Amino acid sequence: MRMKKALSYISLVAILPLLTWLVHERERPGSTIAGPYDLSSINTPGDVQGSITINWFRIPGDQPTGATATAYRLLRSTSKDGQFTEIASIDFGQPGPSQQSRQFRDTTAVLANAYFYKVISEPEGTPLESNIAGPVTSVAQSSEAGATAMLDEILFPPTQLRAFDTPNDDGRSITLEWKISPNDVPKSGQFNGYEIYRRTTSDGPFEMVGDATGGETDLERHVKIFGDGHGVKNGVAYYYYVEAKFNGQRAKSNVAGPVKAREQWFHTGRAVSLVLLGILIASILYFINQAKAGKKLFIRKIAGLEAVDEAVGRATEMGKKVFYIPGTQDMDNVQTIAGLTILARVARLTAEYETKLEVPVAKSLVMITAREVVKEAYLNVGRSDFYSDDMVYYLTDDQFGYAAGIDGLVVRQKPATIFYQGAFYAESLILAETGNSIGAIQIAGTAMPAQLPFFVAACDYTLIGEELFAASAYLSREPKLLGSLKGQDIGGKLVFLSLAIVIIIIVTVAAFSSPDMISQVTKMFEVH
Amino acid sequence: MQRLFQILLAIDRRIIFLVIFLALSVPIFLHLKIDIDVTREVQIFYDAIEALPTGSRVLVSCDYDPGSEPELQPMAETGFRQMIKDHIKFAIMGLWPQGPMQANKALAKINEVREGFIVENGDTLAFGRDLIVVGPDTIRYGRDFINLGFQAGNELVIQRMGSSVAAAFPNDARYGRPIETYPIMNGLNKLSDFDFIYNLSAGYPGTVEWVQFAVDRFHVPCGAGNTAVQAPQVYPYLDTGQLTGLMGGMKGGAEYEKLTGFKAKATMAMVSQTAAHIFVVLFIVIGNLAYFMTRGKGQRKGLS
Amino acid sequence: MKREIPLMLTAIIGLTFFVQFFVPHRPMGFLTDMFSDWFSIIAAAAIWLGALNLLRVSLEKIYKKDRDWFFAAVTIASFLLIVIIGFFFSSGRSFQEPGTKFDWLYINIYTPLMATMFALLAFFVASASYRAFRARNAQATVLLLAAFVVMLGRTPFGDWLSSLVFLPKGWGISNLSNIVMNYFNVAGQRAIMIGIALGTVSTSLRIILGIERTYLGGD
Repeated sequence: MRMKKALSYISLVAILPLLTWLVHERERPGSTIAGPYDLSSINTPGDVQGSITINWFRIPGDQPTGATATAYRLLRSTSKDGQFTEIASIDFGQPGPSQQSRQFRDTTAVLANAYFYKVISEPEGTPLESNIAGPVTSVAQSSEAGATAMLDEILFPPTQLRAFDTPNDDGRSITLEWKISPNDVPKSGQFNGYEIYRRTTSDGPFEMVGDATGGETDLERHVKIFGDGHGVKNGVAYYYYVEAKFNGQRAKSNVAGPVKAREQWFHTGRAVSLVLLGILIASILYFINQAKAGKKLFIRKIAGLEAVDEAVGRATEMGKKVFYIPGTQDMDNVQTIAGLTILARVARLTAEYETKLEVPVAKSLVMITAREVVKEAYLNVGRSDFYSDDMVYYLTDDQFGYAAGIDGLVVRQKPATIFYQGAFYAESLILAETGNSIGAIQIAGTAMPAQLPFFVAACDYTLIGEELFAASAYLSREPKLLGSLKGQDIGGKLVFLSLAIVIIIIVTVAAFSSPDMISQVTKMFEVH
Repeated sequence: MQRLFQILLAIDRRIIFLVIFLALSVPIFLHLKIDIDVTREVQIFYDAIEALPTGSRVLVSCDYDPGSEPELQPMAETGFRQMIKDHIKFAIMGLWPQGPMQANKALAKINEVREGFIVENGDTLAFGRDLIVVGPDTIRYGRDFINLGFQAGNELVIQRMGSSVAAAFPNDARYGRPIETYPIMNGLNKLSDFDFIYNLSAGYPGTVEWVQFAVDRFHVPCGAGNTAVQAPQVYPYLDTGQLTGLMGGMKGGAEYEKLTGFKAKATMAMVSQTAAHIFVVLFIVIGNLAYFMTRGKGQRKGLS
Repeated sequence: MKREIPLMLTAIIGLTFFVQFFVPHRPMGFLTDMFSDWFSIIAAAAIWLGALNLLRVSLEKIYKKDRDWFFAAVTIASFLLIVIIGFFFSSGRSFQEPGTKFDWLYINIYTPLMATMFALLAFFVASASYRAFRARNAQATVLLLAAFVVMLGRTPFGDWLSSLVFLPKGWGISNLSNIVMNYFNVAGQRAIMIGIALGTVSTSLRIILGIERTYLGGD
């Protein structure tokens, strides 16, 4: 025995640090500087001479203060794979209209010629290249009122607008996704968001159906998402475009459509849920049938439930009351129902032993249900004369008002036994410690993980999580209930455990060979 | 010595209460200060609010009552400060009845002009009620913020808001007018029209429900402030990215205050909390010492 | 029929919610919204049952001069005070708004009382920890050490202590506290949550199928 104890201490001392080292967050090496990014190009709006404006995001180091002695080199070509020639250079630290991005206007582009552009910088001697933007053709723009002045910063339009039927819904909704305008940067005081326009025919007028603030919605895919549910009818074709607003300028995206809204019969994002739930339910039903057929099903001892009889007996011997607290939540909480199941058993015992029972509750519906449960229990034992409606009474819905009320009752009436069975929150320790201070025997049961430690510390017995749900099967020993318990264990735990082990192996292998697989595996099991 | 340990084992709990009371109260009276390191999860939340563009609309769900005020109220006050400074609009609501009142209390606390009124376009706007002044910024009820009030129904309210905010909150809590009449609600028809959800939660319904019903179903990013007891339950959602930032307990509030540069109640209370933690640890050490010293003696007695 | 109708209603409504989770097509969404609204209405209406019961029980205690009838009197007085102030003296619909008498009661009586009750936890945690955290066996010792690390790591004192012991960067008590909370705690919480979820599914299935009937009264 001593050897076993010594070994367990040694293994703790050895294993815990090892585990800690394994999960310890190591300092990652410094990241490399990223090159200039998201280069895009458009015809300069309102320029009657014709020019092309390009926009890219600044790289770290290109700030008004602390700038390094480096520059951006702007290159141009007439074909994507052709020779790029340098047309300009912009020094880091050179002032610009935006803190996040830079723009350059190429006035030397020949009208009606298509061009490609790229930007290169060498902050630490190594050349870093942007993506290639283009083709864009320089075209003389018509002179629009107020639009001919050379503006400090040109608005680039949102691009790649996609419109599609919102998946997995009951119709009447269309989802739009687009790549945000390069001018749409965080904390931009001048960017005024987007307006969404829609029409129902391919050549009819567009009307505005909504607006959206700037910023990406999906940071992984770098898109803004907007759901149009404004008067959308199923089966009607719609066309959309999105217009960005910036400093008095407006820029339209491409037109997306036709797209029709439809209702879906099945939520594909929950298919995995359905499969796993199906396995669980099939397992439960199978073992219920097995139990009904007479097969003996083993259930381990649960100390808290074994102690119920003893606890009520103690109260009887001492001539004191039994308090039963069925949680602080309403009848829509499954823990409350589980708590009332145990109340039926406790009420049966108090009826048999003629012990006083009090059930103060925090919800009116629980009061009504608990009364039925207790009355029925007393009736079944033939002690309906001993029952009174006042055994179950309402205190208050308020969490701490309820706790204060229970504490007062416990301190004044000093019950010998207190049951806490149901859903509890912060009041759990207040109740349990007060009960402990008067020397009552306390049996708790809850499926609130945060409250379990408090009950374990302050109560004599605690039903942890699913033991609370197993109580009805355990106390009644009814075959169907025992069967469902077995099914839940086999179908649930065994299957999920196997699945977890398989996924852990896949993900561990993927971490070394193909990190992308990890996100694919994760996405497989996402429930939407 | 043995006698001392036996006394310690059976010490009256009122002595423990007295020591804790002194540990909590003395630092407050002495105005002691303590430096705090900011944790990753609070930084994520702060950065998420900072990254919101000007004019963004945030849904602030106050799901707590006065019992959790010491932990969550500083987070509410600091959150409102940050959003007002960044010109972010917000709509207040509550899944707990006292939540919206707590939000009013937080706004009243940070407001710097409590009396007086102005008349604008025929409307009389009272400071402290319709106008909240924080530093150089003034926000106006109906245009920059709104209080939708409390709605019974727990997570079903969130579900309802998913298709229509007006269906869940037809009128505002302050004046009882249809919410569509307020400029702030232009374009805010459903939950996914909000740019961010800021949830302050002390239990059920709370952060878990917001993650399950708002984030997972309607893809609205959500950051939360929780009581210290509830925070461990919510950590799994932070790791999976379903929560954008988490402030746990008074320390989370103090870290948030440090990030915003306005140190207030949570920072002050950290000294008391630290002292209390130290004493609890000391009690545990003393209790174990007494346990081991008396246990050995008991065994020897048994043998003899 | 007293038993059959509730069982049938439970089955129909339970199945509707279950099916709606997987089938978005009309009329599932409409049905679940409707049932949810019904529950909200019933729960809101039922509050009166509880309130009236509270009044009746308290009045009976006062009338019979039962032991502790004084507390029943305080209950009734508080109840009536809040109701009367809220309904008649606080400017109609906006009774919760700043400046009303109801708001005054909320800030000056209700809030301090709630905060007091919540504050009791600080003292009870200390007394419960003193009593319960004993290194009786290996598991209890691990629990004890984890409690030390987390409690100290959650305060700046832990960082100060780490600096005294010259632990390497990233191995301070607050880092260890984060490791315990982010890994061990999350693993444990997830395990308990999975068990609870399985128990919830099983119990809900039993209720929907009518196998579990205790909540209706009797076996």
